[in-house]
Amino acid sequence: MLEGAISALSMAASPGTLWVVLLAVPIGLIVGILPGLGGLSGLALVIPLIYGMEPFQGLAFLVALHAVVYTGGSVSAILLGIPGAAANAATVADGFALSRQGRAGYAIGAALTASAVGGLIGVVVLVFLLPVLRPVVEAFGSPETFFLSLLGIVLIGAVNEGRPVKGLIAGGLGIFIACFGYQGITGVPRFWMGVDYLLDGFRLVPLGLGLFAVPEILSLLTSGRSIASDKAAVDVSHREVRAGMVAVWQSRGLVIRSSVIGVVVGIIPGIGGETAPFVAYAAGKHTTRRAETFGSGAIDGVIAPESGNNAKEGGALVPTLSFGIPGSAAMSLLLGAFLILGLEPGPAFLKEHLDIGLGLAIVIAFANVIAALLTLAATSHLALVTRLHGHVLAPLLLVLVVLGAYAGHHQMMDVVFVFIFGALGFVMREFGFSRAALMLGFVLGGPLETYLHISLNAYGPFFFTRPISLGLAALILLGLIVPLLRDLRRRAADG
Amino acid sequence: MRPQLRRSDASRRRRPVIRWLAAAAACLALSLPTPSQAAENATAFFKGKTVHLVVGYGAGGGFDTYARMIAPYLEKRLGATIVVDNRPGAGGVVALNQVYLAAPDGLTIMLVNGVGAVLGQLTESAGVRYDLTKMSWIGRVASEDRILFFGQKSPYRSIEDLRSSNRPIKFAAGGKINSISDSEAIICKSLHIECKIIIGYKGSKGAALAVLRGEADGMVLTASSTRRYADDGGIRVLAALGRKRADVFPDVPTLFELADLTAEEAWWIDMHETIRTVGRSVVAPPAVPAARLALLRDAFTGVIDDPDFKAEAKARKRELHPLAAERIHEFVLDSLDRLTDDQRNALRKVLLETYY
Repeated sequence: MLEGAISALSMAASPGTLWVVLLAVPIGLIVGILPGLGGLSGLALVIPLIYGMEPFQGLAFLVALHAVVYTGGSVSAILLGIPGAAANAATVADGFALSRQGRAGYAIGAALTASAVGGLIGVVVLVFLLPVLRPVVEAFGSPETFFLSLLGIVLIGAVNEGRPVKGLIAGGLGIFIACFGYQGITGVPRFWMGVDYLLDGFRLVPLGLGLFAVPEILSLLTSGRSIASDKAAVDVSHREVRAGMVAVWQSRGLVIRSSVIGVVVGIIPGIGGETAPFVAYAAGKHTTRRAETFGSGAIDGVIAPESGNNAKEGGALVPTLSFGIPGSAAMSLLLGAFLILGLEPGPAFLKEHLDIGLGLAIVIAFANVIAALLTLAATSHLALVTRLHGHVLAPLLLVLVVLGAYAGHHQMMDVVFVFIFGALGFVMREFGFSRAALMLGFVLGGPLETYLHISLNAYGPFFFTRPISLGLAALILLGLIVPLLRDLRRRAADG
Repeated sequence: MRPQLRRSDASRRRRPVIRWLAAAAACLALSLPTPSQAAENATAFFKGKTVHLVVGYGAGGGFDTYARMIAPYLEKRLGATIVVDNRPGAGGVVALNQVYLAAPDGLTIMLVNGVGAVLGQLTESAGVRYDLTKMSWIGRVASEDRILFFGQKSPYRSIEDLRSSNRPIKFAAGGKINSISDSEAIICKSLHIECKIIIGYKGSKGAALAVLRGEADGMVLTASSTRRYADDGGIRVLAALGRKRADVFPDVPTLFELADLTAEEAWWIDMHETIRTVGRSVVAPPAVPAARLALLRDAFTGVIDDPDFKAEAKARKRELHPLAAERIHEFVLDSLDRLTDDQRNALRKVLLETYY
């Protein structure tokens, strides 16, 4: 282990690696900030660049690039109300609200710091787990994955900015949309209506872009006004940004909790990493005393998801390296890169290449810190975007959105559905239904069904009697009871 | 004499017509390209054109890797630019549908998952719009042996254990008819053992993890993938499917060596092997002109036999199992056309229903 660490340090600290990381971080930030390009499209675009790179440097390039996408994505989520990547959708509610109040600097300062700290915590956990990865991944079987998905579903109601019922409806709609396409178990395609495109179901990127970007673009086009209302001065002074950083220190418990959630969700291969920030957001809402302010500009509503979505990258490397099973969609692209570079992650990989695992962890930590510093320095310039006239900003965003939707799979149908989902997003925004809740339902619908099926078939009807499953079931019950108790207590206090 | 003249009068009237017809036929025959001319035309046709080598999966996977290995060598032999066209969707079905309906000019070819395609057509999977028996086969790239193995945490060590088990044996797989689950179903049917195939895992690696974890008892995988897990020590390799032992596991006996199979039991394994031998192959739309198809086949065979290509494949740890196009076509016909209705229905039931 020690020699692995030393070798890792020498690899990570070599000039070649440093250059590659310094190149990757700005690219990753830009990919993250631009709403059309998410982490996946960005990675897919740069993978051809790594042909011919030294194996570790090629990997460091990709890993560093991807680790900072969500840092950049938080900026557009806060400034524009459009998540830069799907995992930033949970940041939109409070971040954008703060931006409209003219406190964009405060929100960004907090988001960037939370991202950096979350990313570091994710790396620390990864390093601690590396020697014992196999037992950890093996302990999280299908029943545990099912309960984690169920926990996510239960927390959906909490994600809504208003009445939980609306969140549940939105989440239910998300689960319904997830049902389109081949069903994982029976192989029967559902709702495909004879359209080849629908055989695989809907994709996350067109859904996310449509739900969030299109309504905002519509608003900008119709009102013509800039995002920040003219009355409130857009305050991005260093004082505001520093206030944001201080807020992260004040909520350090929340940061640690959200990061741990992020890492755990990242480690479990069955659930896509995109759920991590939502679960962190909902859990944060459950555990703060000022839950009602969530959704209208609570800084905790920015800190929780942003720590979560950077921490999950460290976690997602766990199953990727130890078993060759991608911990998130981006990890599957990374796996492809491993293969291109001649390495094959899997059971034997970490025995021979523990230093690569550790080295990548160091690269992620390094990249997160640099990304946060770079973006903090550029915040005042970036925030000027909120002063742009709507008629100028909207066409730019529209181009990015169409490009981003098409870049994923080179299919025009993806772009068509961006606008179909855009109509849905518009309606949802008007009537106060949480679009983040819909996305959470969409991402969890598949795993929920699949892992229930597997658990029942592999263990029979008493599959929940495993220790970790019981613990998760207890959390689920808490997640259901706590809001109810809070509601009752509030009513008793009122009445 | 006169009657003769009259007869010759009549035939003289007919003769010019016949002569005219004969002359026309001769002209036509001469204008048709001779076989060597046709070959020259085909070579000239491909020069400077772009050929799309379609892959039904995304970048970075096995099919994509093989396609990108083949492309530069094929380019040199055809004189055309080869573009690898990734068209993922529905496990390769969408791409195959498109290739089936593409223009049969020889400019669209596909590296197809032969096993999946045959099984899809055999079980009349939703969305399948191709007919493999009509398509133009070019050659096979690879077709890996399959190995049956069990996890260390499962109690099964031999065929007798399987046959005398007091509970259904749990197999893991990614999805129905994806070359893992169908192999498992066939084994269960052939050995007459009670099985439960658990699908829904994330690909073959997710299923293998389940076996390592003890969530499932065992599974079937390609020989090279099994080697990696075997080296790590978490599994117990039981048997090779098929009549010959696997190159990667020369000490592992075949199912036929271990179990005394009746003719009817053997039919299932043999049938599955027939389907399996279609493997990863290159195919083109139906009715590609004969000369162009012959040129593609020759070029492809040249690539697979090229020592540089073989060396590159070895370096990338990718096995090659060439097979002539005509034989692939025979195997496809055996799997799809030459079954009786009873056999087809029985196969469908085993592949789709019995063990789920």
